[in-house]
Amino acid sequence: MKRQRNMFLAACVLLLALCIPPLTNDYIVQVGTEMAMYAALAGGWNLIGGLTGYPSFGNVAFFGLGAMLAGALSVNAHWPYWLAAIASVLGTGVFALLLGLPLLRLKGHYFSIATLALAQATLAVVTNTKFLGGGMGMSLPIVGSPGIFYYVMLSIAVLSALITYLLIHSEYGNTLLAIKSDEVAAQAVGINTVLAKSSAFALSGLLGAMAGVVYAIWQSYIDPPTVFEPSITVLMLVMTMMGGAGTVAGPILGAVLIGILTQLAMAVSQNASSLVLGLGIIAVVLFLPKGIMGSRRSGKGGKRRGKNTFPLRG
Amino acid sequence: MAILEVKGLGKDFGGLRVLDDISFSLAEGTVTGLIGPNGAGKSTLVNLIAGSDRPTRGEIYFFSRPLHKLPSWRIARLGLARTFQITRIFKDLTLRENVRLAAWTIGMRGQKLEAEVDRLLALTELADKAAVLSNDLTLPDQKRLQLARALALQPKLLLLDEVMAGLNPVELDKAILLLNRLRQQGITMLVIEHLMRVIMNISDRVIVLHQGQLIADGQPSEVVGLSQVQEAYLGSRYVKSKAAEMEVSGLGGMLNAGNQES
Repeated sequence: MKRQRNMFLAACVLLLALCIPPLTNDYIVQVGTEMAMYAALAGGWNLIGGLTGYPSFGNVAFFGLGAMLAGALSVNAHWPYWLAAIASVLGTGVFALLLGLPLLRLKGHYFSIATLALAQATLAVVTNTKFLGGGMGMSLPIVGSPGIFYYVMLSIAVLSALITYLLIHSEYGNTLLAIKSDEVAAQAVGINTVLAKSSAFALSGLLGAMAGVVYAIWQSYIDPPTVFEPSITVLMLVMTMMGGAGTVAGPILGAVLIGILTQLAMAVSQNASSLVLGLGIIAVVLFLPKGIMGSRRSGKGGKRRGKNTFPLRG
Repeated sequence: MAILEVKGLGKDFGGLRVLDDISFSLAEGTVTGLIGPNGAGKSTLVNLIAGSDRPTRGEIYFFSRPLHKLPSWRIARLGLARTFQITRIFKDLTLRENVRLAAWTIGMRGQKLEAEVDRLLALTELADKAAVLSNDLTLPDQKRLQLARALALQPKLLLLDEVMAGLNPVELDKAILLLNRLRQQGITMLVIEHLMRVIMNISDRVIVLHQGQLIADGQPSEVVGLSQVQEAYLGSRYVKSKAAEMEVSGLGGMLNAGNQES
């Protein structure tokens, strides 16, 4: 059975990932943590960009807000970090839900541009709010060990993949795919498209905030320009596209591939890493418009877009 | 009892008046044909009733409930389903998933849901293609898929916007049979169709739109004989030149032939 084979593959990959900290060095664990973080972020982006067909260019807002809010609550309000983390994740989810309501009325490029503006506006607000650390950034207590953060990030990535899997195999996931195919027809069969889209956007925001919250305590120093860096959104997008938008494994595959490529390029030259990323984007658009998973599979979870559409149009 | 009541409905697209002062009501259990030349406003009328578009003026009532302010998904859940002239399907889903999603949104679950989907696929003769990705279906199959999906909403009123365009004669006969079966189940229908053979066959009543206005309303055989209807389709010069002849040829003759068949 195809499903059993996929389950077996997933279990193997997970087992391999679990073995990394005891068997390798701190450097590899650090790279692995970053890959797991991006797998989680790309998985979150996939829910709104891949499944629902609304290519967001502002998902970094959720990552950044999650990190800054958790930091502020713990440093400035003296909450225990676990409580600050939960509050920050939930708060960011509500933020995504509320902003999704107006933003998701826009379609295609208009939505993309509006979300780009959302990320920049959030950055501006956070930078100018004293409670959130302002432009100075903030230092968090140094806790844990590299291995711990690796495992926490990994579990967020697994959660992200699990949510995607459950969605794809549910009628709610079919609802999102229906919206992606044809929103007017989706409404005509009684789907409350506003609710469906906004909840997908909120889920996307929750996953972004989770990664942000862990990133903050992992790095122990955060400032707005770093956590609101637009290239984080671009990476989420490129990884998902490269792996296969709308698939479960796509974002993970993309995150691992881009992660490895970046590290290899860094070994050659510091500046070459962004060159590799750029070439990667061009290669994906030209040769793999449906992504690695998308090009191989047909039917559910794979064949997501029309034959001739540009990938970013979803 | 009137299942649908349209009062003084009007729609402007910018300065263009597409529909003006449309009023009519549909009796429960009847089949009404909606005809008119291209650009008459038929699809716009359907869009307004189904809530895909908002009227500029006027009101729409479904079982005495105002529709003109409800979002289209609420209207669909009330039991007013539609098909689209240019097919709108969920191309990322299989045929079966398309139909099942519609039945799911109105609250069906589990065994009952699957049984209902099976019944609809059998009714529309699509059962053997259930697992096909709907993007890969032929146009006639996509049209039948739209019908099956609309029926999955358990509609009391069905708006059919040219479901039969592009079908060959054999498929057409089957489609007419299917619509007659739906009528026997008591589903009220408003059918837009250019094929007069279909209209004459299944309609209890025909209303005619021309340049955004209702110009005729009545029995099918009466309506096609009206000179203003023939004028709308064939132009006033044609009607004048034929006025001398008692026997109406051309479209009228064709329509009468269609009438005799039923």
